[in-house]
Order: sequence, then C-alpha cells, then structure tokens
Amino acid sequence: MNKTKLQNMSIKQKLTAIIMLASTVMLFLGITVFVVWGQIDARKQLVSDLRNYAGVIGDNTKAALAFSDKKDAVETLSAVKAKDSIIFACIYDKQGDIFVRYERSNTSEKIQSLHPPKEDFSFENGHLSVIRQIELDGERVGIVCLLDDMSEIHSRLVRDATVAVGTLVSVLAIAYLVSSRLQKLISGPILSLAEVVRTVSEKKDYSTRASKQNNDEIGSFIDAFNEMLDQIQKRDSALVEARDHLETRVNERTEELTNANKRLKLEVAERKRAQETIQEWKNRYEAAVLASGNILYDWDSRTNQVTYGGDLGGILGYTLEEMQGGLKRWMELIHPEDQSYFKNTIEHLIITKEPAHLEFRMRKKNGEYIFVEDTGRFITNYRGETIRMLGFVKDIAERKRAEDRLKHEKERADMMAREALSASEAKSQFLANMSHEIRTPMNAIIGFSDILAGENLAVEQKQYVDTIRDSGQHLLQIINDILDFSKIEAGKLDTEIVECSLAVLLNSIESLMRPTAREKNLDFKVIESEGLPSQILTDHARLRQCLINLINNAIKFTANGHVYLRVSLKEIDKEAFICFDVEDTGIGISEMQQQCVFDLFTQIDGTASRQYGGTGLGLAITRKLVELLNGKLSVRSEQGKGSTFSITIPVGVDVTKQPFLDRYKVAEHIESDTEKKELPMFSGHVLIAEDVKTNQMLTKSLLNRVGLEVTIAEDGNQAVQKALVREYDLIFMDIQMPNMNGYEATRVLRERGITTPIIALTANAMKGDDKKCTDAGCDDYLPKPLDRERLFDKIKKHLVLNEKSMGGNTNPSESQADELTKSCSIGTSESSQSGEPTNMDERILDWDKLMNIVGDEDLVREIVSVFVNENRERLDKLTTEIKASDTEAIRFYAHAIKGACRNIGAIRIFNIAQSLESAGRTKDFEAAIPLFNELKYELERVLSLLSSSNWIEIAKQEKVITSERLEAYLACRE
Amino acid sequence: MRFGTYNLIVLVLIPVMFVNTVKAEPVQTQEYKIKAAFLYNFIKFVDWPDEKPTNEKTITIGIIGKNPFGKAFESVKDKQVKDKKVIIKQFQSLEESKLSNNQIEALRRCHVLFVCHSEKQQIRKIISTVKDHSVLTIADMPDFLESGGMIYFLKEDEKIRFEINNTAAKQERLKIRSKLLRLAKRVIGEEISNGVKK
Repeated sequence: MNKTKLQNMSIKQKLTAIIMLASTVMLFLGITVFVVWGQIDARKQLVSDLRNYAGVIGDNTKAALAFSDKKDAVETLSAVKAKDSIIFACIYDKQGDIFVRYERSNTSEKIQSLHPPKEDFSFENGHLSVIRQIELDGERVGIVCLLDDMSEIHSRLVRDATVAVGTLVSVLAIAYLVSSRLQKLISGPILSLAEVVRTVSEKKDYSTRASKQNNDEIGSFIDAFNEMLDQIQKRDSALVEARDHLETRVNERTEELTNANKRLKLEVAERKRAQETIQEWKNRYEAAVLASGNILYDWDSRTNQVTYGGDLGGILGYTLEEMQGGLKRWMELIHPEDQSYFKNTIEHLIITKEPAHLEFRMRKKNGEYIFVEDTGRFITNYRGETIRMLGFVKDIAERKRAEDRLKHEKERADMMAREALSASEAKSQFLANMSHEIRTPMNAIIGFSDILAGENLAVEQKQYVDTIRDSGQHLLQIINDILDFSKIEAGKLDTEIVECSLAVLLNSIESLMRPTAREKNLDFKVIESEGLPSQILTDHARLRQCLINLINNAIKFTANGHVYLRVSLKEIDKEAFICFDVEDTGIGISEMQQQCVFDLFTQIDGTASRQYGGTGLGLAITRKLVELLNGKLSVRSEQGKGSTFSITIPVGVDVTKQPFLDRYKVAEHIESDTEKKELPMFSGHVLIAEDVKTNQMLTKSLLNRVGLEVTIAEDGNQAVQKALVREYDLIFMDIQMPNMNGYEATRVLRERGITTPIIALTANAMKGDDKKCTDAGCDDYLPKPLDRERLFDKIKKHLVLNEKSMGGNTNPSESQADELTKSCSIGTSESSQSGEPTNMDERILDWDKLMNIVGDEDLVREIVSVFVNENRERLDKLTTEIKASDTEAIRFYAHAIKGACRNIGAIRIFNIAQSLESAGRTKDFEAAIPLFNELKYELERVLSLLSSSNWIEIAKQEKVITSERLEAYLACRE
Repeated sequence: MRFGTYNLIVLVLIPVMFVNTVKAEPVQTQEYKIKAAFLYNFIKFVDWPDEKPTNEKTITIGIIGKNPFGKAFESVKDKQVKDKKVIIKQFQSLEESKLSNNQIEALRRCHVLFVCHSEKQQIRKIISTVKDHSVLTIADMPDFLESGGMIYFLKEDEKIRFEINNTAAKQERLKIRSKLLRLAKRVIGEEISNGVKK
C-alpha cells in the first residue's frame, strides 16, 4: 500500500520527500552522537574526578592508617560532605576490614559494603563506585572507596535532549522550504519532454522535436530522443524500399537450394556405396580372422575395453557377452599360475613397446585349461604413450603336446645314449681284460717256442716248433690288430704328436725290415729325396706302425724283386707334407680291388687269403691310423707288376728352418744296437721301491749283474725317505705298494724337488697306465713282468751308459726283428735250457730258472726263505679275507702271491693266483672260493717243500718239479 | 555425613585457636609488637639530613639497654623502608659498662635509637652522646621529651599513642612530616597544630 502510494506520487512530491527524509536522518544521527558522546565524556570526567578525590583522601589518611588513628581518619573522611553527589565513603585497612566509614544522612539507600570492590571503578545500580589504594613507602596500608549517585550526569542528559529536539524541529522546517523551491530545477525539463512525447504518439508526427534546456543528463536524454526520432523516420523509408526487393531475392535462394539438394543426393549415394564396400571388406576380414582360428583382440588402455574378433567361441567357448569386462575379465581366464607372468610381461612391454609374444594357459568355458600363444603389438599416440594393444591369441595346445612328446622322446634318447655309452665302456673294459688274459699265455707260447727253437732239435721237431712260434706270433698280431681296431672304433686310441727324428725312424725301420726282406731274397731299401727335414711333428710310434704294416704287407705279397720305401716332400695348398711310398714288385691289385682294399676284413681274394694269411685288418687299421695323424693313405697298382702304397702326412714343422736329414749320423748307433749281443755295463746307484721280497731280489740281482749298486725300499713311504736322504741316479717305483702307492710316492718326491729319473713298474699292462705314471711325475714306465732288454733299454735311456761292456750271455737265437714278441716275462724268456717241456702249467719250481736269474745258490736260498715267510703270511691273510668276503683285499693278496710264484717258476700256482685275482677284481666271490681252495692246497705243498732243509738237493736233482712230482716226493717223505 | 564432620571440626577448632593465641601472647608482648611496627612507621615520616653519615643501603634502629621487644621485630625483620634494609642493633646498658669508642661511633650512626627503661638514669647522657648526629631518639618513659628526647610512647584507653618534641628534632635537623605530627597526642614546638587537634 505504502509502496504504491509512494510510486504514484508526482516527481515534485518525491523530490521534496527525499530531501526531507535525508535531512531528518542526518540530523537525528548527528544529535544522537552528540548526546551519547556527551554522556560518555561526562562519565569519564566523573570517574577521573572521583579517583582524584579518593587519592587526596587516601593521602591524608596514610599516617592515620599507619598509626591506627581512627579519630584522625574520620575527620579527614568527613571532608566528602562538601560534595553532594557522594553518598558513601569508606576506608579499609590493609586486611580489607572497614577502618572508618561515612554515609550521607539524607540518602534512603542502605549501603552494606564490608569488603572493598575489586574493580578500580564500576557503574552499578545508577551509582559509580571508585576505589583507590593507599600506599605508604611503596606498601599498601589501606583502600579508599567512594560511591557517587551520578546526579550530575543525569541532569546533563535531560539538558542535552531538550536542546537536540528543539534543533531538529527548526532545521526540518527550513529544509522543507528550501526543497520545495529547488525541485523545480529537475522536474521542469522532464515534464516538458513528456509533453512532446505525448504529442508525437498522438499525432504520429515523427518530425516533432523536443527542446533542450540544460546540458545535464536530461539534456543528453533529450538529444538521444531526438536522434531516435530521426532514425525512425529513416527506417520508415528503407522499409518501403526493402519490400520491393524481397521477391526477387526469394526466387534466387530457391534455385540455389534446389541445386544443393541435387548435390546432396549424389553424395548420399556415393557414401552408401562406400559403406557397402567397407561392410563387404569387414565381412571378408572377419571371415578371414575366424578362418585363421585365432582370437583377435584390441585392448584400449584408456577405457580398458577389449574388443574381440575371430574364433572366440571355437577356442575358448565364450560368447562376446561373456567376455564383457575388459582386461580384468581376460585376466580372470588366465591360469592362476600364469597370471603374474602375464601381468609382469605386459607391464614391461608397455614401457619398452616391444612386440608381445606370450604363452600361457587359459580356462575354457568347459573348465579345461589350454595353452595359448599371444602375439601382439602396442600402438602409441603422438606423445609416445601406449594407448592400445592389438594382436592375436592362438590355440597352441596341439603344439605344446607335440613339444612335450618331443621332450619325452629326447629324454628317452638321452637315456638310451647313456646306456649305449655305458655298454661301450663295458666293452672297452672287456677288451682290456681280454688283452691281458690272452697276451699272457700267448707270450708264454711264443717265448717257449723261441727257447725251444734254440735247442738242438731234430729237423722235424724244429719244424714243429717254428710252426708253433709263427702261429703264435701270427695270433698275437691278429689280437693286437683287433684290439687296436676296436680302440680306434671306440675313439680310445690317442695320438701323441711330438717332434721326432726322421732319421731315427727310418733307421729303425730299415734295420727292422731288412732281415725279413733278406729272408725272402728281396731287395729292401729306404730311398730319400733331397731336402728332407731332420725332424717332423707326428706320433712316431703310430707312423712306424703304419709303415711296418705296409712294408710287411709288401714283403708278404712280393715273391721276387724289391720293396722300396721312398720318402719325399710335397706341397699341397702351400702346406708341407711328407710322403712315404712303399713300392713293391708283387702281385699287384686290380683296379676293382683297389677300391675295397682298405675295407675291413678284405683281402685281395680267397686264394691270397689262404696263400698269404692275415686277418684283413692290417690296411683298414693303417688307414685309420693315418687319418688319426691327419694324413691320407692311397694306393697305385697294376696287377702282376706291383703296387705302391702312399702315406701322406703333414710335416708339422717349418721345413725351411730345419736342418736337412742326415741318416748316417745316427745310423751307427742303430747299427751297434742291432748287433748287440752282450750285456751292457752301467755304473750308478739305483733305488728300488718294491714290496714283494722276491721281486726285490730278482730286480736287485739283475741290476747288480750290469754293474749297478742297489738300495731297496719296502714301500712308498720308505722310498720317499730314502730318496730324500741321498741322491740316486735312478729310481724304480712299483705302483702297487702298501702304505703309499707308487703314484703318490712319485708325486711327493716331485713336490720335494727330487729330479732323479723315476721309472714306474706296473703289472697292469693297459694303455693309459703310462699316462697315469707320467701325470704322477714318472719319467718312464715298464710293464711287469720285467723284460730284460726293455729294462736295460730304459736304464740306458735314463743313465749315462758306461763305456765298458761285458760279454753277454743273451740268447743268440733271439732275432732283432722279434721285438713285438719280446714282452715275455723274464721268467719265461730265461727259461730252463734242459727240463721237460711237458706239463708246463704243472710246474711248481724251476731250479735252473732261479739260478739263471739270481746267479748264486746262497742268494737263491735267501730268496726262497723270504718267499716262504711272505707267502705263509699272505696265505693267512687271504684266508681271513675270504672269510670276510672282501674281494678287493682278495685281489690284492692274490696279486702278491702271483708275482712271487712267477719268480720261482711256480707257474701252476701263478695261474691259479691270477684267476683268483681277476675274480677279486670282478668281485665274483662265487668263483673265488674254489680258486682259493686250490691255491691254498698247492701253495701249502710248495711251502712245505721249500721249508724242508734238503729242498735244494731235491731241486738240483729234479731241476723242474711239477705238482705230480711234488706229491710223490711228499708222499715218499712221509 | 563426612562434610558435616569436617565442618564440625573447623567450628570447634577456630575458637580454640583464638583463645590459645590470646593466652599465649601477654599484654606486654602485644604492646611491644605495636611499638616495633611504630618504630618502622616513624622512619617513613621522618627525613634525615643529607649529611647524616650512613650506609647507603641500610637504616639502623638502635636499642640501648635491657631490650623489652623480645621477638617483636620478627614480623617486620625483613621489611624494607625507603628502599633500604632495616637493621636492629642492640647496645649494652650504659649503667653496666662504659661504651668503647667504637660503640659510641655505632650509636651515633643509628637513625633511630630506642632507649629502654633500664636507661632511665642515663637518658641525658645518651642524648648528649648522640647529639649533633641526627639520631631520632624514642622511649616509653614519661619526661623523656623534657629530657631532650624526641618521641615518647604512651598508653591511652589501651591504645598506644605518642608525643613528639619537634623542637628537639629540628635541633638535630630531623624533619618530621606534618602527617605524623598531626597524629601525635602532643607536639612540643608546634602549638597551633596541637591546638587544632585537641
């Protein structure tokens, strides 16, 4: 109501009202501030006055308080009577008790103030109370308290209010008069403008203009109004003009639209065709992916959505709906064991951006897990961040199964290979055993045949013996060939490529082969070409074997004419080769036969085989050996005219830096060797480490005969001690010894810096033993039983040969060509000159043999007494070990007994002991027991004979005592 | 119940303590306690001349003769007056022995000298000894003022009051403030003030 009333008022009234209202408010505020300020000021003044007053009173009552003089205090306090507004005054002592008080008589109020107020001053109940501390010399002695009724302030308020109201009324009256005059200044122009507007709207005459009076806001408003009228006038005329143009413009636009429509239709058709093509490709592509049998996936790393295509249902069995849930859903399907692998690999690849290739297991809808292969690539945005991964998942269950099968097969194959290997090892061991077992009797056969051949025999007997010897040699050769060949086959044949003298090689071959050729009235020569080097780098033992094979062959197949060994140098591909051509004038080989001449078990023909003998292994082995030496074996031949076999091997040394070959520088030495018919003489001190007493004596007597001084060590320990105490010129070291074996003793000596040559003695005639010996630090190696010639050879090699030589008593029938057969034992080769050759195996003592070796009766006596003691002991030990079934110990003692018996010519016991030893080695305890019983029986009998006082007489008489004879003898003694 | 018991104990104990205190302190002791406090307060209303040879930091109250104060000074012992420490010095009775020069010097250095009853016969001698050394002499013996003493304690209506010989004080260049003079029962040499007062 009020609002509308105010709005409807005229501008004149409004202006007047505004001015009036503003004046009233301002004035009222001003007066109020004035009055309130006056009051506050008056109160401040009052407080200040009262405090001063209290101060004066306090000062004046100071002494009274100090000396508790109430009278004086009352007197001072009564001075407040002079001030009407103070209605109560009081002085408290320092304990806060009232000291003196004053109260105005005419006041109606009762003031009970036992304790002084806390505040310095306070307005309460229309009164002002003021307190003031009384201090004497800095010490509080009391408090003054005054109470004022504020009557002065109240009267001042009434006065001020009256003045304010009067002022207000008079000012308002003046303001009304002024405002009603001044409002015309503003309302005047507005009213006149309103008049003009009304005229324009009533008459529609836009040419009318308002007149401007002032330059204020209203003035510019009038200007704007006039301008508006101008524009309305102009717009009117423009409208008329525009109406005329409109029609033509509509027509133009319609035509444009029609054209645009046509273009649009064309575009739509084109787009539709494009879409169809895309759809077609899409179908084709989907079909292709489906047909590939892969799952196609597209993982968006920003939204973590995976889009699948391809044979999802076929591989995993899920529908697309079931695969909702992005990468998380995919991870769920991965085998729990593969999940971390998958996750880690993907996280790694996201960083490296390498193509992904993973294999893991996934759960199919039917719950089964299959192996899948995931090959994918990461797609990065322009910032290089990985945003997508795109790839294929392939079912590789089949491939995995195949891999498993393959792995399984491989394991089986490995197992079979291992089995085969162990079988092969067993075979090698078997062959090694065979070698030992066969060679020993063979050596006996050949050795004794040799001895027999040297006897004065009837022509017929001589022929028989020769046949036995030849057959034996032949058989041994065959066995050696077979062993060599099997070693080559097993890859066990090692070559030792060292620098060796060509002259020594050729000389030894010449001296070896010449007698053989001479026997057949063939001319044998070694023909060297110019400029041959003196040294070549090869395995001279193998090369020698090859050449001897070929020359033997040539001699065998040549009835008359010659056999030449031609040696020449050849250069192939800038490498120096040495060529050995073995040329004969024999039966020759046809071209067809040449092709298979190197095959196994092949001979030229059946006829030849019968006529010439042989296994057919010779050339095959030779070829293998030549190949081992990195060389080549070839043949040129013409049937009936002869053949030439050629070995071509690398020289291995720089030919230009070698002195030329001069065979005759060394030839003399070889000649003297070949003509050797006497015992060599040495000088020096030799240490023999040997535990078996008889062996000690044997070796000692042998060495004494050739002029050497001998010291005996009982075992490895003693050997070491003795060798450290004094210097020896040579040490013979038995390998199998108690306490410390030969290998170990040698090692210790070498560690201690002893450089004395050491020759190992071993009963195990196996290839590889020599290696063990040299590894341990031995300089050389001799197989047991000791071969006298070889023993002397070794001594000669390692000792300085004494100038003197002594007429030898070696068997002149021994041919130098028989070197291969010379591995017979001392025992057998030095066998009895007389004696009955019957029942050789039955021998249990051979007097002549003993004498031959030992040389003097006293020594024999001594040796035999040692033999008896030692073997008694051994037999006891062996009995114990048999009871304890310790095959290793059985082998050890059997070995010891075997060696001892061989030395006294107890061949029967030797054989039994040997069988027992091998039973022990193969841990065949079953076989050991009967052998042991037999051994015990025989050995006890021999020991019983040898312990009798007159055994020497009997032995001298009998020469060779057999088991049978011993039985008879023992029976007769009883 | 417990609270009640507690209150009861307090109510019973308070009067007992009060009675004990009153009985424990004889009237004589009470009187000298007030006098001791007055001695301190006098110092506050008296100004010594600048020439008074004195230790800057202490004000000495001498007590000569048989000391009646006992432990009366205990309660005011550590108080400072005019920012100085107050020292109480006991002097032997003049009757018993002659004072040594050192002792005389010490007497003269006192700011206040309270003369005990035992020195009744020696008053003049004492006053003459400290003459010209601005010593405020006080005693509670009648005729002390007449003998040349400055302040005399007396008892009126069981209250301790005092009289002042301002003439003697002026002679010794001691300035006694009017506030103190006004409280005195009688002031010699200040007739007007005295008149107004009584």
